[in-house]
Amino acid sequence: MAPTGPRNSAPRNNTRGAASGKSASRGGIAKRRTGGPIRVDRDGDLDMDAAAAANGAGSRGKKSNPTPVGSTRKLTRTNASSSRPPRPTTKASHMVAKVIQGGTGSLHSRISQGIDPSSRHTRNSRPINGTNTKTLIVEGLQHSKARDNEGGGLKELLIFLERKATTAGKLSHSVRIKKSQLKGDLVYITASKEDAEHIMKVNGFDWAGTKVHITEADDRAPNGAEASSLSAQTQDVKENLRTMLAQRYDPGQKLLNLSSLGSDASAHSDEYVSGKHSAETLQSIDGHLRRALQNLSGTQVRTAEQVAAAELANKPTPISQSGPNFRDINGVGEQFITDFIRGYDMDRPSLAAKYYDEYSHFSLSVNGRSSHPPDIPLPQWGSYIKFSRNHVKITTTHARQQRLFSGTAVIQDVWRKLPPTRHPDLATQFDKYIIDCHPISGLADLSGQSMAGTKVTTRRSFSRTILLGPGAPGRNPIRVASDVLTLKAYNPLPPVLGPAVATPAVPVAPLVPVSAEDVQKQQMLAELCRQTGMNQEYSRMCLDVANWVFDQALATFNEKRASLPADAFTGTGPV
Amino acid sequence: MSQQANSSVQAKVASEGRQGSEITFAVESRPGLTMQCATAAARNFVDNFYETLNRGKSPVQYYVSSSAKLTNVGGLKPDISINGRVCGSSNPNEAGAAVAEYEQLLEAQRGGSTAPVHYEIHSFDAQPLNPNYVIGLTPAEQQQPVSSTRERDVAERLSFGVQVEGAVRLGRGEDAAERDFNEAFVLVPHWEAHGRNASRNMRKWLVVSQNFRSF
Repeated sequence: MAPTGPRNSAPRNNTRGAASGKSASRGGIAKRRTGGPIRVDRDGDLDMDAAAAANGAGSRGKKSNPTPVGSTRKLTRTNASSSRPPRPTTKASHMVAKVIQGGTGSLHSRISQGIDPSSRHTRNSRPINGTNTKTLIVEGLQHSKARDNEGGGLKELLIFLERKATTAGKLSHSVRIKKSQLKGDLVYITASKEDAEHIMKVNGFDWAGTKVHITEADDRAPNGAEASSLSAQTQDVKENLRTMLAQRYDPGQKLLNLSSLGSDASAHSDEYVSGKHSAETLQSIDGHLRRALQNLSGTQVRTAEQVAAAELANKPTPISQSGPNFRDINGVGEQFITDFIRGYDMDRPSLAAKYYDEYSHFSLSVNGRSSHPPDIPLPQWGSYIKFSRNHVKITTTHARQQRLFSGTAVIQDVWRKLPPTRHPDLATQFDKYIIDCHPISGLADLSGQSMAGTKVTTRRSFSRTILLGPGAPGRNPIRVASDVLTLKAYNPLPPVLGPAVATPAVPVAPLVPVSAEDVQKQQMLAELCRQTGMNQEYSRMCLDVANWVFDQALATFNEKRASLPADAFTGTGPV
Repeated sequence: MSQQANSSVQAKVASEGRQGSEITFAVESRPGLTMQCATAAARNFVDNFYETLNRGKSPVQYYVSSSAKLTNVGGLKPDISINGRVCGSSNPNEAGAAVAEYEQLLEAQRGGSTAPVHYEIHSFDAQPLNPNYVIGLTPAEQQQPVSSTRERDVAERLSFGVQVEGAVRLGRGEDAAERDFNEAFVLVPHWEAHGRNASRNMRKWLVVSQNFRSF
């Protein structure tokens, strides 16, 4: 399956509806099935009444003309391609009509979305947990292969149960699961009593590499039924506590303010707490909370490492940044990259003539979906988009062929059409770049780089992979074999790069094509960043003022510290 | 249509073969064929590679270390650089070390949960690199005539580069954090997979170089 997003995920959402629709009506024309459970009479004619009435189109005769079926299908398509759940509006109105008539309408769409239906308004008016339903507990989802699916495999499990129950019971109608809920490892499903019996037959079946175990629950859904069994008093207390907690929620900090819980509760206890739920209880809770916090911050129940390890065990963590990886060969990459960035801004034709030959390829892609800070205005892509070779969007061979530019003259021509650029200076603003370079084993002297940086008037970020090889005889000794450029909205590089440069494990020198003096300056800069917590820009300004005498720069910082704006700091603060 | 061009290429190869000189790849007689092959192969690679990662499975079969010819005859090993970290550098003589370390990084990224890491592709682009890649072939195999007009022959000797842009989503639902990433690959032919009676499950191209950066 292609990991390309909505286009592929949409049909997946559809599966359930389509599958159940198919089994719901064996007769009729194929087109009719796709719209969901459309009722067909003995002659195979459509029953349009419910849908037509709900649409306000007035009632038609039973043998109405088939045009609306076509429109139903169209609607389904449109929905499937958008991000909304792919249920057609005709179906929705069908359901609404059924609810109004007091019948038990199809709950397929809700269940298939894995949403707890109890949160819906319409639910109160429907006897889902009525006497003629039964709740079953299904085990096995946890160990199944479907666990990794989008949505955790619940949908697939439900489809499986419905399908197998229908075939196992040799039924003419399809078994329907009215309601499902995922609770820990267990799945609670509710179906009519008859259907539940058939579903029980699926017990022990193999599914997605595991066995499905189905047991009867004691006629009670995990939440809903319990709640109703609570006494009015308990309900009251629950409600009151909820109100109190809501008042104590600090949206700014996203924290519950639980200070002096006891006093607060006692002040209001007459109002809403009665019987044994006294202020004392709340006061003791208050105490417990305090002790817990003290224990955490004071005597250390767990060490920081343990906490971190426990968090790591449950949460995915991004792979950390390790600073630039610049494995150059005889300074070829370094020489090229300085030359290239200067040349691309100043004189593209000469740059192309020097490094690109008749076998060099160049292409560019626009990535319109990259993330960016909210305050950055999105760039206009007009001048780039017609050359964009983004394979996700450009899917025809012809268009891909057209957008691959080969040979010096062609590349020069394209570069002339691209807007002028001004890249940040590589020597002084190398924090705006990530440049990796490594030799490619087995490909003669080819060498690859990838870098990201910014351009000025309209700021954009880019990534560019360039493969270098030895030049043809009589030409420049280095040539570009392949140049793949991707452009996207401006997004500053991760701040992790600053500190990464400061760590001794990462050599700074190879990155910047400069003298020993410059290397020393970079080290000073990194050290000042580290000691003061200022960002590179401000550290550099500070060092410039101090004429690159480190101690003097530090003194200047301490003097001016109070007057520095907040954005002078990297956010992590001094180490 | 291509019959004539085809035979002339073969004749050239044969005559050169007798002299024992090195075969140079004839200039493409069907323009765009290498591009088409590279594009199709890249599409297939991108789709499958990230699907493998998203399922939390091992990507070991995507690398040159899984080909005996490329590793033993060609002396290649995958060069994997992840956020500036060169995988397997502590064990440079072991061809599989790089992939092993990369797998460790992926596993640490997943953090023990089953598979809550999802790579989503926003854009990708591919270019043919070397239309006559021969590393890993024996001298005799290198001498074998290839057509520059038959798609299968062109594909068999083609190396290409891919650049991918996308976002990696860590975690599920509302807690998920998303980071953009850029990743560049160089892929070379998997000789065993192009050979006779090859298993259909083999990747036809293998990664020799990979450079990942998240932003």
